Amino acid sequence: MTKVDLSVNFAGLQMKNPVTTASGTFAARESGEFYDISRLGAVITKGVAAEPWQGNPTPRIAETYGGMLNAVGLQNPGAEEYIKKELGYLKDFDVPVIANLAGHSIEEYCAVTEMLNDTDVAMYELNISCPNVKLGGIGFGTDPKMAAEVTEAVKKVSRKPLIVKLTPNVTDITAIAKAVESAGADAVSLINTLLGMRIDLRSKRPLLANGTGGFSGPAVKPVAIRMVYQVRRAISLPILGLGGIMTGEDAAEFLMAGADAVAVGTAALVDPTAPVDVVEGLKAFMEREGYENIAALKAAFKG
Amino acid sequence: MKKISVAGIKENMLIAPDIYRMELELSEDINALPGQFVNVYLDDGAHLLPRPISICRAEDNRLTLVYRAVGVGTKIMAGLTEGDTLRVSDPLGNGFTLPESGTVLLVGGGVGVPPMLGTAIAAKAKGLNVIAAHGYRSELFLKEEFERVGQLLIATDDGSAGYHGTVVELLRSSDIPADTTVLSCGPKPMLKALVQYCEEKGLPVQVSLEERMGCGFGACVGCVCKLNQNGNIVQKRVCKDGPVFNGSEVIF
Repeated sequence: MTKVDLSVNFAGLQMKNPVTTASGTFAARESGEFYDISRLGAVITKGVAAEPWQGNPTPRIAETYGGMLNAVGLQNPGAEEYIKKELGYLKDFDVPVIANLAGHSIEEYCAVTEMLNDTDVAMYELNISCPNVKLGGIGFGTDPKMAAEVTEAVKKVSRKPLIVKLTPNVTDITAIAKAVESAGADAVSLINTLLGMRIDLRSKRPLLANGTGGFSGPAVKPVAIRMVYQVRRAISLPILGLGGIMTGEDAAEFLMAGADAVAVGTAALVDPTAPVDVVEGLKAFMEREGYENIAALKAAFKG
Repeated sequence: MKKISVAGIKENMLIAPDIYRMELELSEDINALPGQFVNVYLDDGAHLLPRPISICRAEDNRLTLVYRAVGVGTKIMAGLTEGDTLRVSDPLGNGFTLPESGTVLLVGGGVGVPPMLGTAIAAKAKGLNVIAAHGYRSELFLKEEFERVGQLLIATDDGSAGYHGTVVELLRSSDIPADTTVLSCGPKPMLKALVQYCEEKGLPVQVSLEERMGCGFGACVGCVCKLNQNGNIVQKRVCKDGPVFNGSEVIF
């Protein structure tokens, strides 16, 4: 059996393994009731804005074959409360924290960035791709010029490395990736959820109060793999790959496609221990297949 | 740590139209509070989200779930038989808070009836006076089980048994002691009418809410409800902060 080293350096962040949590699917106290958070390479917390957000009306969740729709709308308690409660709790764990940043405008994105600059947060993930927030959110993520503008502005005030999270709801994701790379992003993460919809045949209304929602889960994995593969060939920034990862083998597929680290999202809502199960599954896969480290696994790809 | 365990199905029986009683056996004892729920996992690869099902009874390592086969997930559950297995989570959410003394009035509506049974048994064990008042569409279920624990009042929508009308109308025509704490689970219109009744009577009331959930353990923030806490409107997660809330605070 091969002795495996799972550690990676992601855009300057030393991680004991390449597995983190997708924003919106991890809450420190709640997830921590099921597994030791310190076993993860990093955690990405729920989108946080400078001020509290109410989110969307309910129902916010609908199931689909092999996936789900959500239209939570980035409900969050605001940066002040986040620093006190979420970061305060995470202090006791040996795990780097990546804060997912939400905003309706460039000013709001910059405001939350500045509020978190003096915290222990290791890195930022700029959420310009939430399909459930009309102003800001996906508005920035679908236009290369606007994506570059907000990246540049946040980069200017940020004292931490910046990941920009990309939406799949565009004609050419590589155009957005290139734009944020030129604007100074330190890494990209992809994919955010796909815009989806379901209708309740009894009430003849959309299942979600918001009408549409973000589609995630194993059903979207092939789309995510394809986009990671395309973006890998378009830019040289580190890539955090996500979209439907349920197992260690799924994670290996993303790494081969060009990701440097991965995030587990919907799987963790289905099964709270999924992120650590993916770490163990990836380790077992690499031992079995004879990959000594993540670089060797990535290099083995023949595509 | 909380966990998800494999449970063996000992029985899965139709006890009223579309209503099933499932008896599960786990490898360890279950420590459930009255009013908590479990996540049931279907593990078929297509229907990913856990089904939050209220705990009807939990004793030692035996778990009783009474559910309505209404959607795709619960219909899959209804198709399981003795000898099959299911994955279930540890008990989740906050349960009812029983008073120290006096009477508890347990008001259940439809599939809100089952969680009131475990609550009734816990209340009786605590030495409380137990009255149950249940509203059904038509056919009754868990009637004998409740009658063993305390007084049972019944209302049906079609008048086929007990009082013809809603359970809250039934309460209005009944004698409810002044030392009563009301605990309830059922459809929103029933809970809303019940809270209004309790406010008129000056009775404290706890209600168990239902909302479409994602994870069931508080991570996704899919299932929020609104509360009015001393004039402040706050959003709470039904799965984690509830499902039981102070009825007078719930904004229906």
